[in-house]
Amino acid sequence: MKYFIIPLFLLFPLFSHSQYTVQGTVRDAETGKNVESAIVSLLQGTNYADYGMTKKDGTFILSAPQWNDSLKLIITRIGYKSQTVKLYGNSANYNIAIEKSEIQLREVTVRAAPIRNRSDTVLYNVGSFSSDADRYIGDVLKKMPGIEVSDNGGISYQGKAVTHFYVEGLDLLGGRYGVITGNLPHEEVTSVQIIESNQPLKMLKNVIFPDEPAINLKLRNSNMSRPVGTLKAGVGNGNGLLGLLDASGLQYAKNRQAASTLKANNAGVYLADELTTHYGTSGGFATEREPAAIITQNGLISGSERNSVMNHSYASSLNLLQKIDDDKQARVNFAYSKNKTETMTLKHSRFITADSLLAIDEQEATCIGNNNIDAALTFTDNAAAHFMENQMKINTQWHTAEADILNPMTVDEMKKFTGINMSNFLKITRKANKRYINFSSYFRYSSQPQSMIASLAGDESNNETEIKQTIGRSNFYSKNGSFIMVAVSSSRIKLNFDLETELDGIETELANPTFTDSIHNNLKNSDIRLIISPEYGFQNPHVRINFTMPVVYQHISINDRQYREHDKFNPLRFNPSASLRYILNGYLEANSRFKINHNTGDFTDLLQSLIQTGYRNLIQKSGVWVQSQTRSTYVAVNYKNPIRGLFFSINANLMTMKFGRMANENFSGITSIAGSTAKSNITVSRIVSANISKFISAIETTVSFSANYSTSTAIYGRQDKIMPVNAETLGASARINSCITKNIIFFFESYISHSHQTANQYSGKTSNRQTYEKHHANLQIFPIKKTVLKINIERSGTTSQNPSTNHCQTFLDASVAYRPGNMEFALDVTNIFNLAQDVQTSFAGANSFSTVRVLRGREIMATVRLTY
Amino acid sequence: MKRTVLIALFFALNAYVLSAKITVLDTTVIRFRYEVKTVSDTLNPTDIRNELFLLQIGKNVSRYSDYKWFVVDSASAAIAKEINVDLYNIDFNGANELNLKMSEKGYPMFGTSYINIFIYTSEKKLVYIDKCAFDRYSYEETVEVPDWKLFNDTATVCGYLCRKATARFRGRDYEAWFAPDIPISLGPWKFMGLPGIILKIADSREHHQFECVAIEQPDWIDVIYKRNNMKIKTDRLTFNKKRKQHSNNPKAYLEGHPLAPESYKSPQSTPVKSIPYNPIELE
Repeated sequence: MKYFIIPLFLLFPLFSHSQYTVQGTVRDAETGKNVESAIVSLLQGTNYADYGMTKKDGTFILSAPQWNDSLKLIITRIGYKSQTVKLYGNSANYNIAIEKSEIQLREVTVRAAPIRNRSDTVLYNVGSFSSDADRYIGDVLKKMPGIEVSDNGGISYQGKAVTHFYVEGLDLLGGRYGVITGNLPHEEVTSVQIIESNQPLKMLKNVIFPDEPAINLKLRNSNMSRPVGTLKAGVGNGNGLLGLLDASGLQYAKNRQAASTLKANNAGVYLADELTTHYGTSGGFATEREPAAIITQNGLISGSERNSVMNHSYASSLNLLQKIDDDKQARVNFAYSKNKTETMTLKHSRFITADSLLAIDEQEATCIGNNNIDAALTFTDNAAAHFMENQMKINTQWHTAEADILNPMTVDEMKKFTGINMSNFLKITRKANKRYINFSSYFRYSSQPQSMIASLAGDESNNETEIKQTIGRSNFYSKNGSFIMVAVSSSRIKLNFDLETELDGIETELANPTFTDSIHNNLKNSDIRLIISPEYGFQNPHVRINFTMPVVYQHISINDRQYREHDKFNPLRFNPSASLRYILNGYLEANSRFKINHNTGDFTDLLQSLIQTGYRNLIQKSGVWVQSQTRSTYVAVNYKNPIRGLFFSINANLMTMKFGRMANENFSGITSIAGSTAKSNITVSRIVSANISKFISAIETTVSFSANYSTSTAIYGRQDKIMPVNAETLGASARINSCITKNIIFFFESYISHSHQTANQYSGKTSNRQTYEKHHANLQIFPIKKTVLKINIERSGTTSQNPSTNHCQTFLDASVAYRPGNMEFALDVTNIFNLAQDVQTSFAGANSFSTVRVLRGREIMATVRLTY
Repeated sequence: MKRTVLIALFFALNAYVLSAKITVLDTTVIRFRYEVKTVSDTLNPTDIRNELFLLQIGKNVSRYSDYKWFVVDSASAAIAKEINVDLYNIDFNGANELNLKMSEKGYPMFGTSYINIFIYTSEKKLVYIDKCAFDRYSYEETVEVPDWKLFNDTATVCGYLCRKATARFRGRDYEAWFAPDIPISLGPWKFMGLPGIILKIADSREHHQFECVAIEQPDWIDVIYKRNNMKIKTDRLTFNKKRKQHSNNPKAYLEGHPLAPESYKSPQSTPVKSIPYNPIELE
């Protein structure tokens, strides 16, 4: 036997007159054999005076600076009982027998670190954030510090929207990632990776570092042999029979990914959010200059409004991705959604004019039907030396909005919109040494027939008046471009050429008895833009600079068959932008951007016509381009310390918009005529927001605070008189997500905002002050095994000064669920207090709108869920 | 369930280790899993490499190795048995089928580190095996026990009360936390010599951190084995020098090596960037 440790002072015993030495032999009590490698510790109280290991022959020798009553000898060895030996003052030789025993260790497995950092990737360990209360990965994402999930499911990281959502490195959904976050059981995911600077093109990796974050989910089993998902069915009672059906299946194999959903309900679960495309133009395919509906529908329901609509919602999606080899993949995405919603509202609108106040009361019963079909076929070849992607897309939507309005006259209003969009986008990039050559081609055809018919029956003669507005609109848009880029060392120079062509046709016809003749207009427009855009980029590990100077030459040709013949003009515009990203270290970075953008507005401005978009809303098109200039300056500082679970971001944005025309609204009775005057207008807005979030792993709690302050100054025209309006808003929110114990899970969110708007009327200033608050608490208790009790309380209220209102409401929901194995049997009761109506007040441009909505009332629902 | 699967895998592995390609050295009494965080690039201290290592303690020999490789070995042995192929005389089709099965069942195909450290307690001998570029090296050294200074500070690591000790070892200052309740005088990597297992240890710059995340007492026969594949015998200082040379100039290091990439062989090819090098042993 040999020592591992020879205390140094043993080498100098002669110099240590009072040194106490203890030596002996350790043997097995049962066999009498010497025991090797036993740890022998000489302790003085709890302090180690000396320690060592027994040699092959079981002997040891230890020493202390001097004899002390509190000295004791402890012999320990794995597989033997620990033994304490009383020592005597004289340096005796101890013969110690130790007894064998079973090894009784507490087996321990410590969970992985909650958050880790690797280069520009932050990794969140899903197991550290999930609890029994969570079902899908979307539930867990909300608890991760630094990640924000908006009400409609959009995800942002450190204030920046994610531009790609991958599962095992593949983007199956193309932006419609709600299908994953709302259906993939969180147990299937091991970690969520945030790639802070995501470069989707292999050939541009380490060449261009976009300031765009992406999410990648790492799965427990990246090669599933069968799909995972849920089947859920429910039945309930409210104002009538309620039903719910959910089915989802997701499969991730090495070369193939698939996700499909089929959902339907009339139980107040609005399904359109799940199929919302969250990528902006940067992450997905170009959607710029997409024609917008002129007769707008009150389509989407916001989170706070869901209790107030009776719905029939259907949604289904089918997504397939096949990896052909390491570089090539083909993807098919299909989504269909239908939402029919019925609401009953009482609206009280106050419009402040330059010298008076106009109040309009309306009672509305509306029935809105939204139908949307989206289909896309995408092929991608993403290799190290070349990139090719082609996407064919068809989108069809048809919406109807039927309203019975009492004003006090009776109005039946019907709005219809049908839209068909077909597009193809081809992108090719090739790399030759350090040169990159690109060609891209985008074509889109859109057709948007829309109409509004209002029947007014309310005057003394009880004669019915009919207003009918029809609009036919078609649009062809193409953007063909190319770039050449040379990347040398840390710099790159890029020259972009783009040719945009837009052919528009619009035909409007208004039949309104107020006007003697029907108002008809027919306009054709061609808009050709040649854009040459030099770009310079520089990057090193600390600094990333980008400067772009697009020069836009535009040729606009108008053929107005009603009022004027051919008209042409050729504006030349410069839209410079610069950005700087400074990375101090892995924790702290700063971003700044400056951009000037000149715009010529929408071609429908060229119409010289009245368009009736509602029974009392007219738009006066002036027939001239509304040229505008937007100047924006953005500064942000981000701090992250993943090991400590701390994320902080603050950003400020100053935006100045100059318009060649000034928005003006005239009231003729209760009819609003929105148009513009020749006066120029400047709108200035300043926004500062800060967000801090921290995960405290010891108590499994994520705490977030955010605050924002915004001010804006704008000039509105009302009754052809100028009215400056100032608005400022200060908002703050706090959120706590805590696993108090394994059996109690608590969530609390509180949001308070105070806004102040001032309108300068001729008679003096009119101001509105409003405080809005919303508190949401959710408690989930697991009182006995496999059983969960959920209580959800939401309280929201508004206090406003002018008009003086003060109202708040509290919703209480509760549910109990039993979860044997993969099944769940749940009973949910919503709106337990049976609140009949919901009151909301909002302000916009010194106008105030107070809305009273009829609520769904108390409902009970029983559901069965199978997770497979 | 997961544990049952792992135990089954280990049994399968045990059947295979009787093969001549592997030498069984001991049987595990206790196993410790360590999460190892390494800063490879000192210029980028937030880029931390995370790995999981397994320390198997036997009666006479301990083995410290990459946990992922351990799982790869165990899973491939079990699947080889299932599909009836000889793991050590495998042909292309057999290897393809094995890989496919491994992939289907979600097992990793590769580990992350080739480090294997065997400590022969009685003989005071340490055998170190690692890879440099394409070659496996092996060296022996006499165990070196750091000159530990013990403190009264306590902390809980992995559920065990630990005491603090500090020492300078091979050019770095370390702070270690050992558990007197587990009387094993070993730890992760080459650390040893404290009156209890070292559950947590980190150098003062936090470039090399080891923390125990699991303690297991196998109730199955968990063997400590050594692969009998070809290794180049060397000594510690020569191996460390080779690692440094490879990191500083991979192209020059691999000059003339039969496995060097084609791009390295052309004299006109662009210089290959150096690999960040922050070794745990500075001396």
